[in-house]
Amino acid sequence: MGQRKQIYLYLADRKDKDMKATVLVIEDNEKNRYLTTFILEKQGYQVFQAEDGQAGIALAHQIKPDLILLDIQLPVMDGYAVARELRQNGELRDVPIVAVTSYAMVGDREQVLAAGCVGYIEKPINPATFVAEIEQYLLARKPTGTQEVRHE
Amino acid sequence: MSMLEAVRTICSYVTGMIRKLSHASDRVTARGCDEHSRTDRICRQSGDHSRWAYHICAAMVVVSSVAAGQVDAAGRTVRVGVYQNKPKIFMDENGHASGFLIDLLDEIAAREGWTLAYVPCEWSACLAALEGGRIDLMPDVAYSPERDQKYDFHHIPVAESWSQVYANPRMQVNGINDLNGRRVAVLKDSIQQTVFEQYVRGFGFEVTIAPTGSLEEAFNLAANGSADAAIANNFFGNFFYQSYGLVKTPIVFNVVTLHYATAQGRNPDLLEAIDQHLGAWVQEPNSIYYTTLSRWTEKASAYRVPQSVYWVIGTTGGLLVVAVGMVLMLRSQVRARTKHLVQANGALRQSEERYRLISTVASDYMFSTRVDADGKLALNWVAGAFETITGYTFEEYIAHGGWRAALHPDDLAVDDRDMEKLRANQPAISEIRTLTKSDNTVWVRVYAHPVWDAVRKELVGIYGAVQDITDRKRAEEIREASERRLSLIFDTVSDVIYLLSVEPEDCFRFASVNPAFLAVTGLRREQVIGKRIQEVLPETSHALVISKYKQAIRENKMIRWEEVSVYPTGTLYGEVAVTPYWDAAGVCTYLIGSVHDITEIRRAEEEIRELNQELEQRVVERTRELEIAKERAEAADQLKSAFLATMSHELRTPLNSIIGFTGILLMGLVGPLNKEQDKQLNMVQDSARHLLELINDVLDISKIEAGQFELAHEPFDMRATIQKSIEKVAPLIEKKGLALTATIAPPVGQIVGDRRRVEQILINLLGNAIKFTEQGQVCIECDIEDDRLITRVADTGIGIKPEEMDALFQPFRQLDSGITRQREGTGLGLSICKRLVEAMRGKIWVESEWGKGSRFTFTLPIERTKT
Repeated sequence: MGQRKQIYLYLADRKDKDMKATVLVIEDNEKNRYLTTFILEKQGYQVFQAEDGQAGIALAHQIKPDLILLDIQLPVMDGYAVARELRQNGELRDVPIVAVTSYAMVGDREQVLAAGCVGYIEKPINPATFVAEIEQYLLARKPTGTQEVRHE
Repeated sequence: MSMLEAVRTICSYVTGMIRKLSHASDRVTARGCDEHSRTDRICRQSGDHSRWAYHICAAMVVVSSVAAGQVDAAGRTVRVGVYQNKPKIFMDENGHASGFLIDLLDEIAAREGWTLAYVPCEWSACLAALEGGRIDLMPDVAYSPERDQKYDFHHIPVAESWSQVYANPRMQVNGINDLNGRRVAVLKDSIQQTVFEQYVRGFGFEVTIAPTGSLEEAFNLAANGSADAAIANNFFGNFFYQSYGLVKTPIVFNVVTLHYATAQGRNPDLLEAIDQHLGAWVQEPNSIYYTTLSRWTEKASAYRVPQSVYWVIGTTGGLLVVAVGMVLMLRSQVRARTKHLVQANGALRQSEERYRLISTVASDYMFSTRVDADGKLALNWVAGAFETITGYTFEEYIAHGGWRAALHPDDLAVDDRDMEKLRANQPAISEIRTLTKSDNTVWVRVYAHPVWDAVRKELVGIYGAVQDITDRKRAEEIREASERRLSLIFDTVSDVIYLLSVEPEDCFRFASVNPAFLAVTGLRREQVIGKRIQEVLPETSHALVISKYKQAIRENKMIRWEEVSVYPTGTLYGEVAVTPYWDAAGVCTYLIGSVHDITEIRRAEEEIRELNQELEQRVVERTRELEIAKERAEAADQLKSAFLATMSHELRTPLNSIIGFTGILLMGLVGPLNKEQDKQLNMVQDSARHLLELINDVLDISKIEAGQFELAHEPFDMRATIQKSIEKVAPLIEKKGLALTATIAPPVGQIVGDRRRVEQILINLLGNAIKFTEQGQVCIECDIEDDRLITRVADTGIGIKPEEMDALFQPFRQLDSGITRQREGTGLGLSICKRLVEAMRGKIWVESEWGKGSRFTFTLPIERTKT
């Protein structure tokens, strides 16, 4: 149960620094959207949700989130396209996008990073470590390169 | 009239006759000496006539006194036909009937008191006159069965006549074989011509016949060289041959007997009288008969057929070759003796001795058989090489059973046929096998001639010659066998064979072709033989074959070429060869050609070419099909990848909720849990995690099998990787209270490869070791040997049964399924390890003892980093 203690430590740090961080969750599966939102809101994040890529981009323009959690397999417009679109937008260019995906094929990770994501979290997520993982990307708000968090 | 008176009267009559005869003789002699001054001897001899006359007178007295009645008939007139056949019968330049037969008739007429009226006529007219009753008697009629139907003959022949060959002196004629290829003059349409032609044909000789209108002309041709020889009856021949400068040859044939004939049923008294006189005269060597004969011939003895065959002359009606002639024909070397024979003067014994002389030098013998007392034919005389040929003495032969008993059993039928001929008064010539005393087979040629009783019309004997021809037969058999073999080859060989006769101006004619030629061309023999090649071969090939034929002759060697010919039977592809044949004179007379049919080969080649094209076409098609298949396979691979991606996503999405919410609940984020809630939610979490593991492994192996995975190729620290793997499994070790030792050799450090996959293998093997070990320890060792990294994971667990070793690395095989539920795992771990190790060009294997533990080893080739 040492791990759990560690998470608390992180959360404590986060709370102290920026309680009002805004996270946009773009996820088509309602249950998973709820799961992520629940975990993040429990930790004090302001969470916005979008059901598809198109809606996600529109919302991102609207709310200018601190972090975007992006599912790859989405209806209408897939995650790669969303990431590429966001990366071309001046305002949102620096907003870290972390892919949260059940894709696990060869080259998936490379493709994700190439599309403009800063990180990659494989589903299923571990609620115990999930917040700690995304914290890294929030802390590195100004990206100097790609950095990955391994779900291991 | 007293007896004495009667005798005196008769004697005065006879005396008158003698005077008359003497006068006639002188007249003939004078003329004979004029015409034939060389025959002084004959002229001198004629002076002896008066002496004979007294003898005749004495005889006549007896005859007349016994048959006094006939004297009354003496005054009758007898009309006699006379035709021209010197010296037998002819009208002389003074219109007087003359000749041998006339003189004899005059003699008889004088004794019988007939008045002779001579009627000159042509031969056929004479015979017609005889039949028509215009003449009473016709001299010089040869006996034949046919004539016997029309005329009556007296019994005792007045003379025997035969045909004889007389040759130009430059010719050496000792036998019939010497006439082969020669030109012989003969009286046109005569019986001699017919018989002679049969005669030479019978021996297989080629003789050119020069037909002439008269015997004189025939002799002229032979004398001036226009012909090589001439045939004449012996009377004419012997009378004239010297005056023509010809020589006599021993070739004698067609012996006939001459008679005076009357029309049938008329004048039997004339014939009876003639027989009476002749019968007396021929018995007496010094009779008027012989003196008259001498007068009209070169030499009296020449007119006597040898006495040994005299009885033949007396009875035979045939037109046969006499035995003398046959033997002479067979053996030319006996020429000298033959001359003696032909000129032999009559004594039986002498003649027989001469025959022996002839025959002893040759491989033949002569024989005669006569009807014996029992009416059976019995051998009564042999001469010559009889003992040499048969191996028997004459007496032994007779005792053994004679001719018939010595015959080869298979040839009895041949002898039967011969006998049939002989009994029909025909000669028989045959080749037959006989057995010698020592039972050897000897081939002989038999010339057998009937001795015919013309009155009783039956066979009374046989005479002939037997020649040993074994050597010739053997040679023939060998040659025939050889020819049969050659002909068998010629007839049955599948190649076309033909013989072309080479004629001037590039003319080539088919002389002979084999059956294969006809089969191939579809032509009939008569469409080919004797035809020029232009008439037989397809026109398209004329120029080619003629140029090849000429080349073969010019270069004197075999010329070969290939040819396509269109025949009614189809197109022929032939391999042709022609060879020139040169005769002894150095002239190319023939071309021998052969054609080997290569149509099948050409067709096969054509088929192969077509097949090749077809194959090439099929290769093109197949390549296209394969390209399509490849495209499809690639499309299928893409589909498979898409499917795996979809499965991965679809399975993980719900698991994300399950594991996520379970985690939240267990973390107490929703609210505190009681003990039981906590326990059950942990079970949900364990199951969910196991399910996730299972999904990951299935996807993993699917990816490997689908080729949808790539190996990283980058440097990493093996030591660190091992340590990391140990850390991962450390909680399990702790939980089961096992010891874990790691022995990493110093050289193990940085290597190049796929770190994550190596780690996956290590965790898998360590996890398995822990899973199946209840107590004891798990060891991991790593070392470098040669260029291989060797890693061993050993445990003290339950081990593996030998029979389960094989199935160990196959998917979904967790050993001892009974305990599967106790040991968590997917059953895919080792299968994945094996595939990964092999993908990395390494090997993995296991050593184990049931109940004592297992040791898994895998090797990886090392690619050292450049440090």
